[in-house]
Amino acid sequence: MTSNRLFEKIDNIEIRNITKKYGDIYAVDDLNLDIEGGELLILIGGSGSGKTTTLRMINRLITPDSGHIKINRLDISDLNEVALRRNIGYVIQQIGLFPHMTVRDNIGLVPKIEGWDSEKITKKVEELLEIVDLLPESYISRFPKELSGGQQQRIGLARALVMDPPLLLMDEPFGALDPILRKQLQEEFLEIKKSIGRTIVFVTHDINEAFKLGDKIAIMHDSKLIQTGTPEDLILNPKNSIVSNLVEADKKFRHIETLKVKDLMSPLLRKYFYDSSSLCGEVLESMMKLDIKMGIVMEKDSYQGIVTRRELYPVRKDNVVLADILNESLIFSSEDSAMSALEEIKKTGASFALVMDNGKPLGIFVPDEVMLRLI
Amino acid sequence: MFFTALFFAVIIGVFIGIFLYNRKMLASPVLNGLNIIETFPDIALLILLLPFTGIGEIPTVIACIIYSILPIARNVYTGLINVDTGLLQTGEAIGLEEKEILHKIRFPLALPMIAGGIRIAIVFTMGIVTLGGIFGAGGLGAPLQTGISLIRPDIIYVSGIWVGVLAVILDGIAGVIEKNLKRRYSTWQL
Repeated sequence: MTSNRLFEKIDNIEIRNITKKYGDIYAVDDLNLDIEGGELLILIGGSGSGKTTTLRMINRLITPDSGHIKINRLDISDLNEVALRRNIGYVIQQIGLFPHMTVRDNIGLVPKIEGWDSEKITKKVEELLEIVDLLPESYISRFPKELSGGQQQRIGLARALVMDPPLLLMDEPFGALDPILRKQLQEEFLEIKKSIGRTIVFVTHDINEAFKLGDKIAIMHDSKLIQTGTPEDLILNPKNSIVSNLVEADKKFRHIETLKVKDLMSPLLRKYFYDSSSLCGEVLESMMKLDIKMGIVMEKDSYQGIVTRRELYPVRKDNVVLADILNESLIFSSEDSAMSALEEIKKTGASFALVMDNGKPLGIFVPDEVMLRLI
Repeated sequence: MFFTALFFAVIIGVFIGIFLYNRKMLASPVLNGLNIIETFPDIALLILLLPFTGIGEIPTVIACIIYSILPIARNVYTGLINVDTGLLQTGEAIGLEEKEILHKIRFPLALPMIAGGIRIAIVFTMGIVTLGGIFGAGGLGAPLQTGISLIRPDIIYVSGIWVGVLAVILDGIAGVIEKNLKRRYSTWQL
């Protein structure tokens, strides 16, 4: 069947007095939560705290015993459940790629049922593979078992995005990956999140992941919602000992005011440097091989600008050199105050800044990493 | 004769398997009933059919079908039921309808199991077709029976070996198909 778009964008999600019991045990007990459009809300808690149950009630995989959920003031129990689910992307830890379908067919399954023509599906799949940082030509016709865990999870994300859902539900999507891969995927996900600009509800039990990704964090414990707030709220005003233990409030915020950019920057390795006359396609390949997200463009010894992998994708087959597409980067000196640098990055919306002294790049300053080093 | 029997057995078997999947309450009694039929000696079943069908190919074909339905229907049913629940839930979560989950996920993933059932049916059919020679069904069973009644070992050997070779070849082909399906559709992740 073909389904209509139920909502173009999410204005707000209103969860009111939701209760779900299994036998005598409460899975979710009288939960109230508001999610604003465009934000990434983290549901965090231990196992059995009810976070996954709450998530699964949003796309009606689970029906609450009482209470209601409204998306843009529409009660979801009035909507067709299949149509609702096609408007909501869903990513889980177990990924659930269908083993008998290629990457293209896995991602394109719902579009195919919706009656898209084959060409349109292929085009959309290629576009999504670029977004999740996989080369379309080498991955599109592979089967899931020919992919690594991290690659499978990227395909899982691409599949969730294929219908351009305004809302994305993610249930510990990085939970099964090894720590290094998890960190890398979290960082990529932050970039993707910026480019897709959707409302996301994200379940995790890892507080570092919550701080790294979340705009707002809702803490659940024993099937009840304890506190909702921004990371700063939770650290500065924990409601009770459950919250303060979880966020380890006492250990955080070690005098950031006294720190300088050089104390918190990451060093620049040789591999980040590229010559301005290099071909974009070759640079992209080399960046994939070295597994780096951005490169610094140099002409002999002088700094010219930066390029990111995302900018290289569209021109990878053209005869274009780095000098033609490079961008300016935000630049700080190593003696600048870390606090003001953070504020300025936040203001401009950049994901990182270069640290340079006398025209020589020294390091990169990545706010997410800086925050993690502080906490 | 062999292929006619197999053709109908596959169609009826798959149909019954899907039917049982849709009405799970009936699965256990129906499969048990088929099991009982399976315990009849094949020669007895053929003889029981004679009054209704007369001699010739027809009783043999019918007996083949009756015997082959069970392995096929059982494997179709088990294959459809035992698909990884994680995958089924994912299908539901990305917005597939019940019917779409059956067509796009359950059925393809049950194919290796279904092929296994058909392979067993091939071996059954082979045996019964040969036996059908007694009742005028023709085929390689006929010279074999002639050899037995004339006590001519040479005829028995030639036709017996041919039956054996054919059975091994057909089972081999079915085995290769099953293996390929397994490779293509198995849920195992590397």
